[in-house]
Amino acid sequence: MIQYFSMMLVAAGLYGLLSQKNLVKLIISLNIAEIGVNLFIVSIGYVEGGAAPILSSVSNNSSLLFVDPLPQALVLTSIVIGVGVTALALSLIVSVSKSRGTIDISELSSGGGDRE
Amino acid sequence: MNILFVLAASLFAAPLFFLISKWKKSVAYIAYAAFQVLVFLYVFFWGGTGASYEVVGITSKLNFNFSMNPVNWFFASIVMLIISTTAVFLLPLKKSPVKIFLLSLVTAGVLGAVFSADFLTLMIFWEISTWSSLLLIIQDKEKSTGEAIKYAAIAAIGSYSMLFAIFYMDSRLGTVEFSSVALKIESQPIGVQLTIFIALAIMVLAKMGSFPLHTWLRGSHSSAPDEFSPILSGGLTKLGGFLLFIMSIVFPSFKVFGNLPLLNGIPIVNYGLALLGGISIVVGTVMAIRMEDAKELIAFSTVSNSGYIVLALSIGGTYATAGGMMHILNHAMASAAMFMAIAAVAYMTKTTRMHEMGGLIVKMPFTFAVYLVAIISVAGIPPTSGFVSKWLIYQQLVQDGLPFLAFAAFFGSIGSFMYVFKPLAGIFLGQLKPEHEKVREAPLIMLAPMAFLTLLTIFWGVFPSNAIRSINRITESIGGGTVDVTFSRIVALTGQWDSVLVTTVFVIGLAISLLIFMRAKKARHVDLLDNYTGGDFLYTAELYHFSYRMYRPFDRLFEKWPSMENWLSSTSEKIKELGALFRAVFFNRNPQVYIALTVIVLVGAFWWLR
Amino acid sequence: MNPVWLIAIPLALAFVSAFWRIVSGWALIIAAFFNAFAGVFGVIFLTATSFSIGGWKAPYGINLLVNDATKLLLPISNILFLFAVLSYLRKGEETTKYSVVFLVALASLNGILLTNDLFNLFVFLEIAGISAYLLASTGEGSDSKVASFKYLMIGSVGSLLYLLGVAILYGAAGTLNISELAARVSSGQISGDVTLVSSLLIVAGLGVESKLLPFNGWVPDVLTKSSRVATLVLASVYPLAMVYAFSKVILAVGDDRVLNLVVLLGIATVLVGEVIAFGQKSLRRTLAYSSIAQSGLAIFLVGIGSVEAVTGSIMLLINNALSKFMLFSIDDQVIDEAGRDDRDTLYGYGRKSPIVGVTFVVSALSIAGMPLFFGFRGKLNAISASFEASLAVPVLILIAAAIEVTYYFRWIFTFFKPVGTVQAPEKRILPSVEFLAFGLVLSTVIVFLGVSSGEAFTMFERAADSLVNGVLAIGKAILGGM
Repeated sequence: MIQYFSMMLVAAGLYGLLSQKNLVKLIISLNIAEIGVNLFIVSIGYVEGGAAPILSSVSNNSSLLFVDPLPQALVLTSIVIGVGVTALALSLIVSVSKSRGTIDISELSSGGGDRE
Repeated sequence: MNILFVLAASLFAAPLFFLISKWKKSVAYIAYAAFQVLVFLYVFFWGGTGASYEVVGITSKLNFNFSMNPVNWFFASIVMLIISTTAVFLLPLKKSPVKIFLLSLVTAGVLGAVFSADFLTLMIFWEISTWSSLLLIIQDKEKSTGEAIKYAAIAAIGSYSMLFAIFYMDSRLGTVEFSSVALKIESQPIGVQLTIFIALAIMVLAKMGSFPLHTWLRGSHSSAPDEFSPILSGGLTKLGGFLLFIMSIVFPSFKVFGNLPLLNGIPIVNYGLALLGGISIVVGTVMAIRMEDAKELIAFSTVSNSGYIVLALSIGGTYATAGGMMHILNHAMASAAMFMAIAAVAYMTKTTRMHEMGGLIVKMPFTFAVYLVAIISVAGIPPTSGFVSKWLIYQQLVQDGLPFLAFAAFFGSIGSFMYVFKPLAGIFLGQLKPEHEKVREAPLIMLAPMAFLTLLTIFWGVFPSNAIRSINRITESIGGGTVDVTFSRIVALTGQWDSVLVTTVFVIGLAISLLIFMRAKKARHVDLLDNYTGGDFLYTAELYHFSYRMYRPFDRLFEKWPSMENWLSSTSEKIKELGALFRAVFFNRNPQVYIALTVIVLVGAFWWLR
Repeated sequence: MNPVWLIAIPLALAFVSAFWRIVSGWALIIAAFFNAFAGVFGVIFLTATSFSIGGWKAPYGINLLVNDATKLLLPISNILFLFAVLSYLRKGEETTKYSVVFLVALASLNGILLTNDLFNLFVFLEIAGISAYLLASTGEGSDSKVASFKYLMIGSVGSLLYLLGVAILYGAAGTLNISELAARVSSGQISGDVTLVSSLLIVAGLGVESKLLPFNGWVPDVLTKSSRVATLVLASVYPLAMVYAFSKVILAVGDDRVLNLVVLLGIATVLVGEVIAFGQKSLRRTLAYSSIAQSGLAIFLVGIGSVEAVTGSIMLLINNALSKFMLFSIDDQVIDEAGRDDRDTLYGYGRKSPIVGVTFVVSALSIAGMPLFFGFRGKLNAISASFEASLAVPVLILIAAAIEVTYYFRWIFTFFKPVGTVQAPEKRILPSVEFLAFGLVLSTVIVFLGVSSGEAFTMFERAADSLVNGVLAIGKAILGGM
């Protein structure tokens, strides 16, 4: 169930990526898609009836049924990377807006340049 | 005879000569000339006896295979003859380290190619000589780069077509050696045989400069450095003849395609190739007649003669094969001699446009004699060797009953009278231009090789049996028929030709006319401008140079013919347009376009693949 | 020597130079030299193949795999990186300004080459990608920032898709170790649908960086607009690592149907790249599209998947790295001298500067695949292997090759056009000392590899074999042992 939802998020993000003109909105769409993917990854690790994968003295679950911790680690990494990329993208947007004066992707894609 | 040693020496000679010429150019050039002459003598006097085989491992799959049988010897002798005579000839011309390096590479590549025993070796060495010759062509003249690119494009078409054939052969037959392929190809389905044959034929046509891939010859031969044109025309194009001989005669191509519909007894594929050769003859002849520049004219003559070779080796039959082989020899010598003569004239007068010259017969009589014999050979007049080869080809054409091809061949011969005469009249006959008063005969070092080629042409015209016996040896070694020949007589299908007898008659006739000439009154020397018309004296000499626009009525006759010259440039335009289209689709400036493409391709692939 | 040092040293020095600006230039040089030496001497003599990280044994933990292929590619990548950094040391403050980025790029490229874990590969890909985005933005003017942004967009989409593919695969196979996954996939334990979807997504993800059509829209803008050293690194070292990563993963976990798709996409890339390159008037653009085509050639061979094909792929990759390094350097020289690099400016340049001309001829002819040069050997393998698929494949490849030869010769002729009458050029243009040195070394290597005989070439075959068969063998051993 949740996996369908996460795929919908990805689709929404991709749709936004293709249809939006504002650079910041493009980055937001990218983030939405990334969230969808991360959600999907976490959901892969789900084990029916499993507990949180933490060994502690309070844990009363004597069976070895834990949710898979590996995807959770993957997602943490992926979120951090996403943050880094977003930060880079936003700084590029600032630089572009200062030098070009626009953050509209269609304007940036047309005039200027040395296309033969 | 150790081919590997010679080949290795040639390859290493290239950087060696380059270094020597950095120190002293003339030493390098003399060394190069001496080396080539030595190699020629070594190859020639080995005589092609014994067939040995050398294999050089390159990778686990790739081997260079060299053979040394009569076929290799024949072609090697021809190309080395041209290369060595040119090497001596070019000693007075302007030297440069780059040129000597590239020349050495070209000759190394050619040498490796003619001694190859499998297609891949042939291809690799041929490619080496192709790219070095491309770099060599652009060394002198500014317009050469535009012309050389045509050569590059057409050579690329030919080379990749041949690479396709080679690897197709490898994947189907498991081998690319000449003899093994000849054995195995009979058992393959017709589609495979046709593909290989046609792919190789494209390479032959491209490299020999035959219709329809002939448009590069004119520019490349004419704008190449003068010393390189003889090698280009007399040596490199003949490699195509080597390939054609292998694929048409050594392969049992007539047997292999014997199940296809036959036209006049020739399988349709071979007939198609011969037809292209015939068209090449006609096109080359017509275009040659219309040229104003001597080198362009000879370039088209090469197109025409390549057509003869393609025609002869494609229709099969003992006489056509022998004629084709001999024509390779003859045309190599004749066109090299012609280019050398023009180069000598250009060296002395600094131009190759025929209507800017005239009357040079008095200043350069030996060069004139060389050129005269060469054009007589190209036109196919006895007692030169060119007659013999053409005569043999005609024999086969008439006997086989091939009217259209025979017409093309005869047209080529008759037309060649016209175009060979044009430079003769324009350059050597007529009145001497005032600015050429100081011109002297070409230096001895240039005359000697030219004279050597001339003597050979006449020798094999008077004693063709010498050459034909060697050719017989070759055709016998691959199981073909031989031409019946005695000391002076060739017996062919519809008659016989006794060259010694004819030459004797010719000499007697010459002697008689010489006698009459010497007994008659001497001519009076008149200056060109010592004339008047319409009551007015003449002032501009070139308007009365009768070689300018010499064949204007003929020119007008063929003005409206469709020209093949532009198909290369229009193809390149189409490719550029296609490129612009691709760019708009795949590399659009808007990134959303290519992101959308990504998604579409992914979804589409998933749908298609599940 | 544990190859993790190849990753750790540049990364550590990156942190140092981020905080301590003064030493940043030196840090870059030290790291580049260390990596080059370690890459050559430390790696070549390694006998052990698997190095686990963090004490967790493979396949539970991440491990670094050193096989014949990495032994070949690591030295070359690191040495080329060193050359790139040294090339503009005297002139460029950009190397000091961006030294952090270069260091991180160096670390991540080595990581991509070494790692044997899919997620670790993702992390390194992202790091390399971020460095690439930054490198792409180093050019003058705002054009490079826009180009970098576009690259960022498609790059992020690509990594999204890759991550999704990895996740799906993990969900079905339970492991992220490439060797083990290879064994599981080939033994049919994983359902066909899963392999199909995950392979498709992974192809898309890795294809973005590997310049595969239709994922490569970013290439022309980035390669033409970024600055000098950045372009050198992006055009010669990055493709080595990225296409190698592509090969490594796809050969291990790819579904057979997807491999056919890869062949198709590869051929399309080659054709489109060559056709567009044919019409370009600027040398730099021609080189950018030619790089796309070369990557396409290498990738389509990977799709075919036989040892012979992958041998050709590795040879083409290395040839491309060496030649493009020189070609882009030449382009830089020209732009330095003349400000532009279109055909009119370049007329006769090769005569005024013979060394530049000769290196141009050597590298151009090598990429075009002429005999006596290394590129010919790779091309031979490529054409020979392309017959394994349908007959249309070699025809298309050969058409693309004919187009490529023609435009490269056109550029060579432009360089050597006898301008006016052929006389000694008035002013000889001398290239920089670094260019002389590196050009000489690289040209010699190209010609040497072009004419050397069989023994030297077994190293390429062994590299290919390790990619095609070796990974699988290790995986089977792991599975068997578990």
